[in-house]
Amino acid sequence: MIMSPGLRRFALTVHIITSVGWIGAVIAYLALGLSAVSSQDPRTVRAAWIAMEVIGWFAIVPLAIGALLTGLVMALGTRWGVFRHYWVLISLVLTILSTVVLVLHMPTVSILAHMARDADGVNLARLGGDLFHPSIGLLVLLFITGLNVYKPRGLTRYGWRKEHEQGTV
Amino acid sequence: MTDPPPYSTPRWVKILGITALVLILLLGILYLSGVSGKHGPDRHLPSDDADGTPQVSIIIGAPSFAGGSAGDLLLLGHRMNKL
Repeated sequence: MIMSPGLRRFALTVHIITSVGWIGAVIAYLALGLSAVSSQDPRTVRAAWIAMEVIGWFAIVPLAIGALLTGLVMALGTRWGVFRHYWVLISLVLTILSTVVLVLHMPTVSILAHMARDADGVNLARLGGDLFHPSIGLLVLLFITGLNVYKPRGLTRYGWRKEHEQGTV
Repeated sequence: MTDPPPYSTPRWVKILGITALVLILLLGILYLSGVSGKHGPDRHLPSDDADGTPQVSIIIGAPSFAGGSAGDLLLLGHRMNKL
């Protein structure tokens, strides 16, 4: 079902807000992770881990799910479709993958935030930070953003068949 | 009337697929070889005791803000004093 222009603009606005918000929240998470790694102050490390947990559950996870759902709505409600163009399909697969890894990783963050609450100064320094997952995640999100902006040409086999069928009818 | 041109996968998709495959293989090799270290919360903890007893055994994790410090987080064999 193709959306009306007004509804399409609204869905696009929400999609951009959630997607860009997701990137911003990951950057904030990374900044906290860096401070947890680099700081010698136990209070800073403890505060960073507690904030990372809160940002993760209350900002990153909802924004990720929002971006995934609004992206699906945009694909289904416009001529782009979900499976017709490679850039849409790859964006969808990478977004699903990122969301799944995020949701699976967050309990670990909660466990470490819990430890940070209880640990003393020396032990806090040994906790380190959380840089690997958010760094890879940020790279993937930036790549998806690039795909969505440039929209490189390329039909999937399904899209090519559909296009050909429509062209010959 | 001419036949449509045969379908071919775009070049950028092929390059992207090969790059993704190489990265996945590389990560898999790093993980299996142990070079990348432990995965999960244990990565942030010091090595196990000499007797092989892990210092922290995590059974289940949930947001700790959900139920305070004791919360829903169940840590068995939690020996933070030895961290």
